[in-house]
Amino acid sequence: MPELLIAAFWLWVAGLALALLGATQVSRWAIVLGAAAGIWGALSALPQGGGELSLPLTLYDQAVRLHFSPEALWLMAFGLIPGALAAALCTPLRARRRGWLAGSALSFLGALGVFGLQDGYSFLIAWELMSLGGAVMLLAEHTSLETGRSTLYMLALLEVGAVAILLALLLLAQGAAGSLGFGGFTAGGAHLSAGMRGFVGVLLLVGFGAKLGLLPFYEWFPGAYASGSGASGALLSGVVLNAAFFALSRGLIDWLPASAPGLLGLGVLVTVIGVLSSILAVLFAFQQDDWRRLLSFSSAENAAIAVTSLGASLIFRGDGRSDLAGLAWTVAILHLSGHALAKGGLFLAADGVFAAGGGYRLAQHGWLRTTSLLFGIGALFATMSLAALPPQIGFATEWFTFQTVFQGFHLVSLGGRLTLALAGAGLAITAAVALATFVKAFGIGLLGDGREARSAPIGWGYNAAVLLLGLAVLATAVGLPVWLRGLDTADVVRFGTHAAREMSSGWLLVPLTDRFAFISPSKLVIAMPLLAIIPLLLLLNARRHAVRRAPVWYGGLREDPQRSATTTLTFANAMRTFYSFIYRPTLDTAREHRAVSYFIRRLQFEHDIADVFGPILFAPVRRAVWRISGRLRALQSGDLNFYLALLGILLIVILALTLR
Amino acid sequence: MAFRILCNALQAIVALALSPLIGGVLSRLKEIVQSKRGPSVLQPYRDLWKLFHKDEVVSDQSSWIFRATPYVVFVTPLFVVLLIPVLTSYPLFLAFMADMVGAGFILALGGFFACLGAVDPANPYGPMGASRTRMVGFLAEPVFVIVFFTVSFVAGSTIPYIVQAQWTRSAGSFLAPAHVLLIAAFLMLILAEAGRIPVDNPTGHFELAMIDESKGLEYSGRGAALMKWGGHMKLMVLMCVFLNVLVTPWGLAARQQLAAVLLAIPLVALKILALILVLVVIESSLSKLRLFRITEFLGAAFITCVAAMIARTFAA
Repeated sequence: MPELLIAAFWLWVAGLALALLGATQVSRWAIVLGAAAGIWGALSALPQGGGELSLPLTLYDQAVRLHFSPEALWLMAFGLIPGALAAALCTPLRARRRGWLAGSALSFLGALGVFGLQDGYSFLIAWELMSLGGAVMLLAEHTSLETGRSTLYMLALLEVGAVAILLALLLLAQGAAGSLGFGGFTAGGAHLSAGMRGFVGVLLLVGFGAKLGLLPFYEWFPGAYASGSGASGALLSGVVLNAAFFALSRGLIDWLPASAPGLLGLGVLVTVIGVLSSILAVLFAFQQDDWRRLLSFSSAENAAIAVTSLGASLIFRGDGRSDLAGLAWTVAILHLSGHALAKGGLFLAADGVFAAGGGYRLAQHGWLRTTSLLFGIGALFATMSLAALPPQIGFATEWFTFQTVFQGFHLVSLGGRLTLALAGAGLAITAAVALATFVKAFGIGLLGDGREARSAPIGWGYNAAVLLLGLAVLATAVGLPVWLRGLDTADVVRFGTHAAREMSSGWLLVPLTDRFAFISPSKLVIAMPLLAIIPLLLLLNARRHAVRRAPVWYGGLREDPQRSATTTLTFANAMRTFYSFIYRPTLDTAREHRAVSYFIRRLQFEHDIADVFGPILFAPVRRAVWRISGRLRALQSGDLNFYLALLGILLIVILALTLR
Repeated sequence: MAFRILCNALQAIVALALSPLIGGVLSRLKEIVQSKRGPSVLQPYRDLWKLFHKDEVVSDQSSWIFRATPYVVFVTPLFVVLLIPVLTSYPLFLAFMADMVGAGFILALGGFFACLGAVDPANPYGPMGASRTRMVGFLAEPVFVIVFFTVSFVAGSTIPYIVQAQWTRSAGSFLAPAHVLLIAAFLMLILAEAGRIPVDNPTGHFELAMIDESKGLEYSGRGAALMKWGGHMKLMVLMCVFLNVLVTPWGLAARQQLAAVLLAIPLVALKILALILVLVVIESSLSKLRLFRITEFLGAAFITCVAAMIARTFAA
């Protein structure tokens, strides 16, 4: 029933209107129902190979049409699942719900448009609506003093991207006889020269990469995400990120011709940008001490991994290997689908901790020991998925990503082979640091000493949402051989191969052939618990011995759990020291003494790491804008003579133009 | 099928039974090299027996993660034993669950839980070990992946049973620069992953210098027994991959006969003994590296396998 997507549209419009009118409860449920309708509509349209709908709206005297391809429906459904749960739980900041609901409705509407709209005008409106929705959510929540600055920074970088997209669309329209309809863009791309096609590819990469968090744009992620709640993060990392990736994938794969020269070079560029972005993003994720900042960097890292697969797809396509191009493209889609579920789970877990009085700072408060087992299981499954551990979906998609780049030996081009080989090394570093990052997030954020007083237990709503998303992560992995068929039509249309269907063989997941490699999360789920019977039997055979709970021994010193607790810095410092050439860490220690320096009255310790691109790329631009605005300040001097002089100059210019 | 299931069970039993002996032989030989008598080769078995019969004390601040960790650490290497060639050169019934890359991820699952188990009880030494392990891991795991990457270039597969057949085809493929470099990188990786000198000293008990051992400091009784046994099995798994897939894929049962499979047990044990001797030489001639020099050691392993990969890429 694809018509449910129209129902979703109207429910979100209603949710937006109700939120603006102040009816937050009704607005909230309208948005949740809209998301549920969106999920159901997308999943029901998927077996039919897509859906075509028309909205009762006109733009430039033309009806607004929506056409959803299978991958759009797939990515939308997976993005909307955490989105629906985030909307149901809403922001934990009760007083800010009105603005947040309005922002979330705008984000959903924008994402729906990005997935379905078929012409440049309406697409750009939807794209801007999606950015605006995110900004409204963050500004409404206003969780830090830096919110305004961070949101402006986000919008500024997103607008750089929007200009690049506009330019790319205009260039493609030029090739398509001036039409901005997406249907003519493939022919439009074919009419462009090779250099211009490469330029359009770069523009698309910059435009959509600004939202995906490719370098250098990932630097807006931590500040913006940390300005809002986990619910905002679940939306931004779910449906919004998926929509941006869908748009990039459509641009690079559908609009640029498959047999064009230069495609391989563009593929190499996309792969290199993807790998470098993933390494940098995950290295910075590891150093964060706030749930939202850490998870935001991780979102950029996962988007970059998907972009790497997209680059591999372009390389294979440029080399004439459509089957492997289909494999790489499908892997990219799968990776972001699983990521949306897992990341949504952890963002909502962070909200649960915040709502219970724990704040967003990663600190050892032993939440897992004192909260529901269901919350713990859900959070653990989501963490395992993001750390690419079996049998979760993150493991399956990361394994597929490695297997895709391993296929590089099939390439004729030496450059392509070498690029994929080095991409494999880069992705391996990313995977290793991601594992460390999620040991830290789970270990410091949810484990440890829990004796400190807390105001409330984590609410049942958060327990249920985190468990649901955790189980969804597992279910997606276990049923992947079945679910994969949903993407087969998309592969046939795009690459002329049944890549998605050939990615499974019975209950095995295979990179098109089971002679090269295989895994089976479905079998792992059954076999691993069965194997656990062996240690359990060993324990049964051992004599019964009591388990005694006792305080940790502090080497004979006075018990002081608070002072000896592991902090995010102590956990990450070894890596920070080793990677100091990237992090450029700063340490400031200020001491206040009494009369003698031996007796310290107050010790202030501050530590930080430096952004990579901020100081060298964005700061000079910002300084230039300030300098120009300083010069232009004269325009607001209030001096009447100055204004009269300006009018005089204007008149002379008009006269000169008229008399010319 | 019944025979292959039986062989799978036999592989698991061999790993369970022989893996503590590897630790015992290694310790004894090292002591002999240092002109000491050393403990019996059976000491690890005695330790396990003792731990299984002792009370268990757990931190009053620990959660269910701490209690679940020993089972995961024990099960993951045992699971990998079912996937790789330990006694036979043909795949067994349960081998069709993951290839070598998948097996690497499964081993990482054990490492992940070991780190969480170290952080959970609020003992400051555990997280320190977990942090250091991850620092070692961030270069060790890429080495794993690139080794398999190069293997996939050479053999056109990451399935261990197909890969092992590749090296035995000709002397040329066995002595190819890519293969030799791979062997060197993987040996360095074993030293890092198993916490051996020069990366870590498994017999050292000075908390500030510990890496791997400090993660298990809070475990006692049967929890500690499972953790130690899991550690022994992990070393054996790495040795089996190194010997049976990369270096000496000979001596495994090629026929589906019980006698052939039983004969493979002493042959594989002999190969492992040879590798133990190599480890003894390395551990007796090198000292433990300082913490921030470890990354240099692993960086060398990383560069070695990247060199192998590039050599193979240009040779293709």
